[in-house]
Amino acid sequence: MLDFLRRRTRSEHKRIAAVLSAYVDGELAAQDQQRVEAHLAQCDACAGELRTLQYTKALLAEAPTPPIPRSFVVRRADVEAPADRAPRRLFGLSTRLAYGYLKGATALVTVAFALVVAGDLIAQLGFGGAMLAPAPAEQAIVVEKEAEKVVEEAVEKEVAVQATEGMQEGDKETPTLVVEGTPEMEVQVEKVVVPTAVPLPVERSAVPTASPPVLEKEEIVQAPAAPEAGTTQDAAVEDLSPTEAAPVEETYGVSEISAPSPMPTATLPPSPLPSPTQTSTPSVTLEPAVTAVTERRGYGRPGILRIAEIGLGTTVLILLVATLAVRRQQSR
Amino acid sequence: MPQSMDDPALAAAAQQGDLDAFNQLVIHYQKLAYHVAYRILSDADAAADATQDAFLRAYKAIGQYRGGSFKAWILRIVTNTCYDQLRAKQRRPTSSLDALLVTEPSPGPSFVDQAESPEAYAERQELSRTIQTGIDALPPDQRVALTLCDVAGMDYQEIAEVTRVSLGTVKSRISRARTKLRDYLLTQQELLPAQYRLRDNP
Repeated sequence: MLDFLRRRTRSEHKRIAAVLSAYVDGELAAQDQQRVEAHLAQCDACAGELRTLQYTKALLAEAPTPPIPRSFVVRRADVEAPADRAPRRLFGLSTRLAYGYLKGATALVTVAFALVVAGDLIAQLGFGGAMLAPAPAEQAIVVEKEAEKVVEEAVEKEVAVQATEGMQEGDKETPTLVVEGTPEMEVQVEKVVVPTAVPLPVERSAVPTASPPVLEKEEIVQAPAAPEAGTTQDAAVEDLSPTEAAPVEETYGVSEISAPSPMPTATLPPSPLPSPTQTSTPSVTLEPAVTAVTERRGYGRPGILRIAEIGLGTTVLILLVATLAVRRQQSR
Repeated sequence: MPQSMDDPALAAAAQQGDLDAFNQLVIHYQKLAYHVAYRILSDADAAADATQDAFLRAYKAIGQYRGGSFKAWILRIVTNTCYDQLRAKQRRPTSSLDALLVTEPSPGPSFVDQAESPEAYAERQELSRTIQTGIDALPPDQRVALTLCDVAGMDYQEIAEVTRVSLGTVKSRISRARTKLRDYLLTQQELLPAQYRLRDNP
């Protein structure tokens, strides 16, 4: 009988002990609370346990914590600087991932750029047989510069040049060029490659048939990419004299711009072909001999190559800047 | 710290982008938030970082506040921030190296109180250190539950919502935590300042 009572009391102790903390916090239901209080009234051990728990709670509640070291008010700069970063997550990528992708893309485009440039070099040096020829880029620069000067002369004289070749028949390309004596003409003609100033690779005579004979002159002339390409390279060729460039005038015939460009940098809107009647009165018709020279040069591929080089180079630069920017953001 | 009557209005204004309204809430709750963070993290600098981070997070997520106790809402963010800090600390346990370098328990931050004698000041510091040592020995979940209960003065239901566990889990965590802390404090009785000893301990 006593044994039974003792065991019952022990289990009651355990039960009470389990809820004593909740009792301290006033978290017991009214019924349980009454039971605990009834037990505590006749059990000194449990009453002592209760006191130690209350004491612990009181100490923790009273124990000082250090005063706040500063005010934690949110400054506008704190929430607006991160807001600027928010768009970077719009792509669903963390900056770390975006940085990785950008790095990969930059490497890829750089390799493509190098391949195109290398291919261009090999095509000009290897197949052209002119191993000692100046670098293709320099050739182009020279040619462009010459063309520019010629055009300047032409502009001064207010001469409109009309280069007419037979219209396209079969796959023989017979472009028609109408050049007006306007200042814009300068831009177009700078793209004309001059054969006389440089050794000419023979294989270039293979003109891509894709090049339409139509010259969208008025629009091309205003394309923003072309003058940039010309002007940035001007410095290298300032020693050229006008006399060297003189023969160039005869080569007005085909502009490489007439080739449809696959690169985004040469987004030239199609325009109606200016009719011959629009040209100003003094006009020059190119001799057939000049036409032959022009054909031999073959402007389609160098044009595409040049545009590809410029486009890829620009893309490499943009990607490089973007990659560096993301890396900076990431390291913050 | 009772819930301010203005909390819902201030939170609503903050949701409209009113940073000043939000900062009134910050001023009202920053002391509590910092104390909770300090008890959980046991480090003044880490607590300051966690508190600042929590209020920043709260402002950015203010749109997710759906009424109710703002105190519970902000303390959930504080608690989560503290959990993040604890996890980060586990990943790179530099503190163990620091502990080796510091032979004495760090002097701890100063608990400046006006018109307090140097003796009382020293005693209070001693008490706070002893209690913190006892809390540090608790598992994080128990530490958080006990801190929310005894430091933040939340009831079990609120703690269950803040920590996203059941009421029964909260009950058992607090019971275990308080019992352990009690046992530790009883072993430290002699080291505790006289006025903080449990006199009638049987």
